[in-house]
Amino acid sequence: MIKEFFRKRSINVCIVNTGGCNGCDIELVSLLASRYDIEQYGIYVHNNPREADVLIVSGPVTLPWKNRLKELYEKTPEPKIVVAIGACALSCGIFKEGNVCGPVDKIIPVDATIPGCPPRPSEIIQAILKVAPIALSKREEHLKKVASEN
Amino acid sequence: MASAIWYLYELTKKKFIKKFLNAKTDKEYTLPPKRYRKVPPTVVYPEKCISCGACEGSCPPFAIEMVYYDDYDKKIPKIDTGACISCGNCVESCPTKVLNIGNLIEETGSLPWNVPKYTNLIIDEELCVNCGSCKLACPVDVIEYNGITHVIDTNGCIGCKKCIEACPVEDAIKTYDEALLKSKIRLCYKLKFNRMIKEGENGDSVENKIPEIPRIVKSLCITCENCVDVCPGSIDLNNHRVVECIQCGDCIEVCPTGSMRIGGVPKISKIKDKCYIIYEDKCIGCRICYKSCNVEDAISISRETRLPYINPDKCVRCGLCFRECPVEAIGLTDNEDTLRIYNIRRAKDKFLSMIKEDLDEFSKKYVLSKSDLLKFSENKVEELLKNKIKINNK
Repeated sequence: MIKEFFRKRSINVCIVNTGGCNGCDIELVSLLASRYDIEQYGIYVHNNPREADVLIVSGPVTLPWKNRLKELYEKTPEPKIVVAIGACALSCGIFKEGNVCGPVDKIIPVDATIPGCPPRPSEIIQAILKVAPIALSKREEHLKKVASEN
Repeated sequence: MASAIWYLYELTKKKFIKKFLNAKTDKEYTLPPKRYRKVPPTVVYPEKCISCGACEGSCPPFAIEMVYYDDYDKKIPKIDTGACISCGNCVESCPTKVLNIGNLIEETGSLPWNVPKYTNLIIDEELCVNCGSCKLACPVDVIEYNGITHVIDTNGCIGCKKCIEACPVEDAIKTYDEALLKSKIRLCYKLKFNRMIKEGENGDSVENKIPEIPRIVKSLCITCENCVDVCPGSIDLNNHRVVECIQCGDCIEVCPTGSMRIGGVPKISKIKDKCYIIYEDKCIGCRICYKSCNVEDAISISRETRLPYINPDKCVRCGLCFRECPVEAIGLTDNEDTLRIYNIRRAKDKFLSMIKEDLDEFSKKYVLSKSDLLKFSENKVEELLKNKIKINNK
């Protein structure tokens, strides 16, 4: 109960660009600026997977990023969720013909997706605020179940 | 004093206090502006769709797939929301304005677009029989006759491939897409690089891989200059002419449309089991079919009946004669019927022409011998006369 209340007000985020065109990253940067100001909602961008609850992945997974992304996912402490943003992360977008491993959900499990090329900053905030607390609590329950079964 | 009151009034306003206590972004900032395109485009009028696949070909992230729907009894574009980048290419390329995204159609309705597409179509000048089937089949009317051959306007073509289905000649309309162009350019650089290495090792190496100097088919050339790049000699693309050639055959390999060509290309019909036939009891002998047919030796005139007949081996079944005939004397039957009539007519023709040739030769010989005889006799008479005169004089 208390955990859920505070989890809504403090979400730590790590942004990972796996080889896109940086369009989505620019939208994410505008989240930090004064107009949207992501920190007023209690979302903190650390860019450190060891501190993060939410991994935001943008861009198609390129060949060198395949193993790095798996490492990042393993390093993130439980409970964790992955949000894929932009057309590239969902289905490789315009890089479908290039040297890519595939969309993000081929490499690591994805909990939430935000379509758009790029998505609006307000959409990103909305998605993180709505999805993150629910997904995190669900994930925790799931982990507890697994632990009790073992 | 007055300003102090104003300040007090402003500071005690409800909005100000609310803002002060609750520092959240204003709602109007987060509302999307009018120009913002919502993801993805929607199929507004599915009943008007002609299932041409132009949207599918124009989509850069391949987000559109043509899916068969039972409700409409045809294929309708299905858009993958995750892959769509809302570029609006599909809306621009749609010939019947079925799709819409935001209000893009209203904004860009009168603007001239070059239709974006992945696959391009091009007509082979040497194989085209100018029957006009593609022109009738084209849903956007971009195929025109320019006096020599039919030409597809590349900017207006939507790449639906309906002309390929309608074309009677095999491989007369060729396709090339971005992937092919890419691979050909790579091949071009590879060949060039290999040649440079070879030249460094053992000087000039003249190769004769192909038997003759290739020619450039003008209508197929897209001026990509791959051949100019790879050629050790020189090629003049402005006049479509090969200037210098060592017959290495590299230009044929790197051409994406098959414009560099050696040897002839046969016109092969797609339909093999059926053929057009001219019913001789209905034919009035106007020879419009003979004049309109653009295939060499497909229709010839019989010497015996003075009526045209069709050669099923040469005929490409384009149906031009069938459409042009004023008395409907041409019909579509099995191949064997046409072949039978053709064999009879050709045999008779051969026989008649043989007789005619023989007669010609005979008469020529006769005329020659006649003139020889005449000359001979004239000479004789002259000699005799001269002798007579001599005798008289003596």
